[in-house]
Amino acid sequence: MKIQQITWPHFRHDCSRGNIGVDLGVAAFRLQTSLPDVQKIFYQLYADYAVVEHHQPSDFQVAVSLPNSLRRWLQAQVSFSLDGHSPFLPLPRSQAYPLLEWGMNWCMASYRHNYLLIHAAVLEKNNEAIIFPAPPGSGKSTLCAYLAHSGWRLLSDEMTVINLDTGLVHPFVRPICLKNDAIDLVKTWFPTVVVSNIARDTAKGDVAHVKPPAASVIDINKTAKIRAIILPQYSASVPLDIYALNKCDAYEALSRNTFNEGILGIDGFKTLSRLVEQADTAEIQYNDLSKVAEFLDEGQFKP
Amino acid sequence: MITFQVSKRLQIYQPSDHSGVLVYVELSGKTVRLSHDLLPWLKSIDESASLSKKSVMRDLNTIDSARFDALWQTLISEHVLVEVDLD
Repeated sequence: MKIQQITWPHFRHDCSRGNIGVDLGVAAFRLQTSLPDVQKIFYQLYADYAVVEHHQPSDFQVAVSLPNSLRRWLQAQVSFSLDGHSPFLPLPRSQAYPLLEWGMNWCMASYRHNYLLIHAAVLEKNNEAIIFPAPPGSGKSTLCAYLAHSGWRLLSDEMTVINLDTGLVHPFVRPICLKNDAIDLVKTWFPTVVVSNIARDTAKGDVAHVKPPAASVIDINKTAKIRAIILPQYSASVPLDIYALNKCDAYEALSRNTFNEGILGIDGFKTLSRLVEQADTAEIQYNDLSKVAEFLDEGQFKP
Repeated sequence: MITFQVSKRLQIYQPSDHSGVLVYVELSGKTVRLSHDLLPWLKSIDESASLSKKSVMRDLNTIDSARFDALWQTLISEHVLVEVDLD
């Protein structure tokens, strides 16, 4: 059963009681929130995901709620919690939905150490995946949204999940988090995609989430082999420049973007070095996404 | 004279493009990037051997002294080599 097959009144009822579970492939989350806007956005963006039924186990039980304090009424704030514990300070009420998404990422990064987790987008074509590790501001999510709606399968916008035994990448398909100008750009490029309302003035600027393509959600358990590691960097003055990236530099770039390499110790090192060795590596600077897509489709990384 | 041993259970990754050598040091939980030309020496070190700055310099005689001093500092500070406890 998919989320969209639950009627809206039933969804709201179950969500308020913490009985909405969603299968994200590498993890199952159960959500509790009574906030109508969070319920509505979640219902829209996760419509294509399989439901985790009441009797099935989930990995993370998360909630977004108003704190039990005066702040509920005065300059209202919201809290994220995992199993009843709030790991972060509350945020303004208007940031409730991004807080949920960021909290879910935090759950994975903090506890899912049976995988190597890299802060990177990952997309796939013909069962060969390309990883785009990058710090905030590199244009990673915009590039990811563009490719995900241009024939590439989205595996993740934010977190690349690597199997320690096989070296394959597992999908962790989630709504794509767009910031600032990228929100209107994506709406212009792909007028039919579902985009959440904009949360203003977050720590990352204005933020909205894009519903992932249904085809990517259907393949949420389909792993892929990593073909290439590409470091993207948006540059206003350059349509597309491609630079060679040696494997030691690629290792260090990936290592800087891992969530848990240190925790994994020697397994993290072995997994990361195998990943770098098997993949082609490059760095790109760009401002023209169509040229990037053309390079990926027709260039040396053609899957 | 201060003597050293190579840190236990070093893991070495030698990238196929010869861009360097990456050494995982279990003692520190860190990865150290070294020059590709150190690979033969790294592979030849016996874990039980006692090493001194002089003996390592002799083994790496192709490296000039300024570069060796920098390398030596790296090997010590990154725990690739650890001081032998004489007690």
